[in-house]
Amino acid sequence: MSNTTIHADSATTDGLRPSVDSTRASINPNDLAELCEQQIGRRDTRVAIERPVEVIGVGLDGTLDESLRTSGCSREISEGGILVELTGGQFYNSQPLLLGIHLATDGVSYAGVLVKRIQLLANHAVRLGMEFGGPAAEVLTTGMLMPHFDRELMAFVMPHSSRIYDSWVDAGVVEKTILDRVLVCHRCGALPTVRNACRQCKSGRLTTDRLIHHFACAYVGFVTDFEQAPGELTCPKCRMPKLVVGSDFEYLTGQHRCRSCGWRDSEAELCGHCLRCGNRFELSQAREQELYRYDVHQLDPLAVTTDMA
Amino acid sequence: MFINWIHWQSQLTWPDVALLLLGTMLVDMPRYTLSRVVMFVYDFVRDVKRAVSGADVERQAYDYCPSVCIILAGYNEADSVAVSIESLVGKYPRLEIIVIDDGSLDGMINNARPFGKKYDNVLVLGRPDRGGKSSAMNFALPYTRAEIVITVDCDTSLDPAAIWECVQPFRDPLVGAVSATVFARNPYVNLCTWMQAYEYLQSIFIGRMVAGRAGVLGITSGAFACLRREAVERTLGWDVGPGEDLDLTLRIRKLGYTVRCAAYADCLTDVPTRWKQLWKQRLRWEEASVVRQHCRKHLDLANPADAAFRWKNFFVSFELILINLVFGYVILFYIVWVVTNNPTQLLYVGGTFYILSLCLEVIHVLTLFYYSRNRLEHLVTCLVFPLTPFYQSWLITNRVVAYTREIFWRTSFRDNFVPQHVRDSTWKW
Repeated sequence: MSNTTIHADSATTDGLRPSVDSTRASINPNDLAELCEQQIGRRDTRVAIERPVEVIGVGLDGTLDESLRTSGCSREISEGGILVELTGGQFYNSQPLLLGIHLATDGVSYAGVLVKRIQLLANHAVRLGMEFGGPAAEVLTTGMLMPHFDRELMAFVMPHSSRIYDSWVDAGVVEKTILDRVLVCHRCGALPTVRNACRQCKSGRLTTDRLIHHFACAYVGFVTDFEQAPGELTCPKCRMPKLVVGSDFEYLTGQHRCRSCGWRDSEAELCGHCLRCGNRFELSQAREQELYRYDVHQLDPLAVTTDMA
Repeated sequence: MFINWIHWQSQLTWPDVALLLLGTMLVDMPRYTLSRVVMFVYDFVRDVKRAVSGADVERQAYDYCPSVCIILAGYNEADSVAVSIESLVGKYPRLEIIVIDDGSLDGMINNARPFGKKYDNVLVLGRPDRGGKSSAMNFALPYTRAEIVITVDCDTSLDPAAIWECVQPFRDPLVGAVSATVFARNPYVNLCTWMQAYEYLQSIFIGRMVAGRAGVLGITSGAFACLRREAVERTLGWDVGPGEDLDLTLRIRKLGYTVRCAAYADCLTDVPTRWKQLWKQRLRWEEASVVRQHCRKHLDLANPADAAFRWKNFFVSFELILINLVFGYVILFYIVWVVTNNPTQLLYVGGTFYILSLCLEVIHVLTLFYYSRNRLEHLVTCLVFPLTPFYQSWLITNRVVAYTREIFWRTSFRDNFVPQHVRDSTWKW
C-alpha cells in the first residue's frame, strides 16, 4: 500500500474530518484493486469512468440525510467499488453513503457505498474510494422495496419503516407507486377472511331462499312448491310438468335467513374475521391499507464495467 | 249551414230520430248518464234528509286498520324509487313495503337498498334479469303475511290518506279488491293531458264509483290497486301481462269476491303528453283488455252454465263486450254507411250526435261536482268538456283498431311490456 494513501485510521480526533497528507499526492490506482482483492479475494477489473455523481449521507438505519449531499465526478469503477472526486464535504472511514451516478443511458443509478479511502484535493475537493454495500445497499435490495406478506403477522409489511422510505422519496431517489389497496382489520392491521353474514349477529351461518319463476304463468314460489313429483319440477299454478331451467323457468334468490339469531333480510352484510386477533367486524369498518412499491435505478457495477471494457 | 242543419232536423220523422239516436239513448245514457243520475239522486236525497233531521253528516271513520303490504315493483326506476319509498314510509301504522327491482339496468336496487337497511319494514328484493311486472309482483308474495296487498307504480304518488281510504272497504270479508282513483299529475301541460285529466275524472273517479256501488266493477288500476292477500294467493298471483291488473281482478271476482271502489283514495300519475304516445298507450291497454281477457280468457264469466256463474260477473263482461267491442264496430260501420250513402248528411248526423253528447256531458259534470272534494281544481279540468265528443270519437277509433289487431294478430302477446323469453313461453289465450 502506498505511503501517499490517506487512511481513515489516521483521521482527526473528531472522526469526521479526514487527515490530509501534506504532499497531496494522487491516490494510487492500484489501491482499489488491492482493496477489492482484500475484500473478495481477487483483483478486480477496474475501468475508468467519468460521469457526474452525487453522494447523500445515510444514517445507520438507512434514512437519507440530505444535509450531506455533495456532487462530483467518478473516476474509476470496478465490481467491488468506485473512485470518485467530490467538490467538498466531510467524510470518515466506513461512512455509509448513497451514491448516485449519471449514466448516459439509464439516467441516475444509485448504489449504497461505504467510504474506505479519503484523500483531500485542492480547493476542498476530496477523492473517495468506496466499496459497494452498507445500509443504503440493503434498502436498495429489490425485495426490500416491495411489500411482502408476513405469515406470522398475517399482514402485508415493508422491511423498513415508512420513515426511511419517505426520506428516500423526499430525496428524489426512489419513485413511490401505489400497488394495491387492501382492507385490513381496523384493530391490528392483519388480513381478514370475508363472508356474507347476518347484519344482526355477524354470523356466517346463513341460508338463502331459492325460488323459481315460471315464465309461462309468472308464478314465483319456493323450489319446494315445485317439487311435487320426485326428480321433476311441476308448476303449482298452471300444472305444467317437467319444467326445464332456462327454457321454462329461472331460479331467483330470495331472503337470507340467519341460523344463529333468526334474522331475515334480502341483503347480507359483508363481514371480516381477522386472521390474527379474531376480531369480527363489518367490512365497512375495515381499515384500508395502501401498498406501495418503490422504484429506483440501481447501479449494476458488473454491467458498467463490462460495457466500459 | 246551421240553417240547413235545422231544416234537416225538422224533416226527420220520429222513427228517423229514434233510429238515429237509439244507440246513444239505449246504451250511452243508461250506462254513463242514467246510472250517475240515479246515484246522485239517491245520495242527494239521503243528504237532504240528514240535513233536515239535523243528523251529523256522515264522515269517513278510519277505524279499520288491517296490516298492509305495498309492493313497489319497477324496471329502470332508479330516479323515482327513492322518492316513492320515502313518500310511503310512515303513511300507515301497520305497513310493510316490498320493493322489487325487475332486473333494472340503471342501478335501481342500489337506490332502494339503503331504505332496506334504514327501515325495518322495508324489504328490497332484486333479480339479475328482467322477468316482467307480473312475476316481479309475484316475487313479493312469499314474503308477506299482510292482510292487504297494495300495488303501486314507482312513478305514482299517493294522497296522504289514500291507504286509509282504500283499506276501509275490506272490513267486508267478501271484498277481494278495491279500486283506487288515479288522477293526472300533469293535467295542464297541453290539450292532450288536459283531456286525459278530464277523462280520468269522469271514467275513474265517478265511473268506477258508480260501477263499484252497482257491484259490477271489474278493474283495478295497476298503478294503485288494493287486494286482499288471501284472494291473491288463492288465484296464485298475477298472470303474464299486459292487462295483468284486469286479469287478476276478474279472477278474484270468479272466486266469489266483490270489487269495490274507494273513490277518495287518490293517487297521481303522469299521463302521456303527446297524442302519439297516448295512442300507443291506449292501444296497449285496449289490446290487453276486452278481446284478450273478456272474450278469450274469461269468457266463462258470461257463461250461465258455469258453476261459478254470477249475474254481476256476467254484466261486467257483457257490458264491455257489447258496448266497447260491438258498438265500437257498429259506430264505425254506421259512419262508413253514412259517408257512402249520403255524405252530405255526415255533418248533420255528427252535429246531432255532438249536441246530444254535450247535453249528457253537462249532466256528467254536474254530478262530478257533487262528489268532488276539490271543486275548484276540478272546475278548471272540466272546462274542456265541450271537446269530449271529439276526444271520445278518437278513443273509439283507437279501440276499434286495437280490437282488430288483437282479434286477428294477437298483438298484445308481442308487446315489449313483457320480455321476449317470457312472451315466448307464456300461454296464448
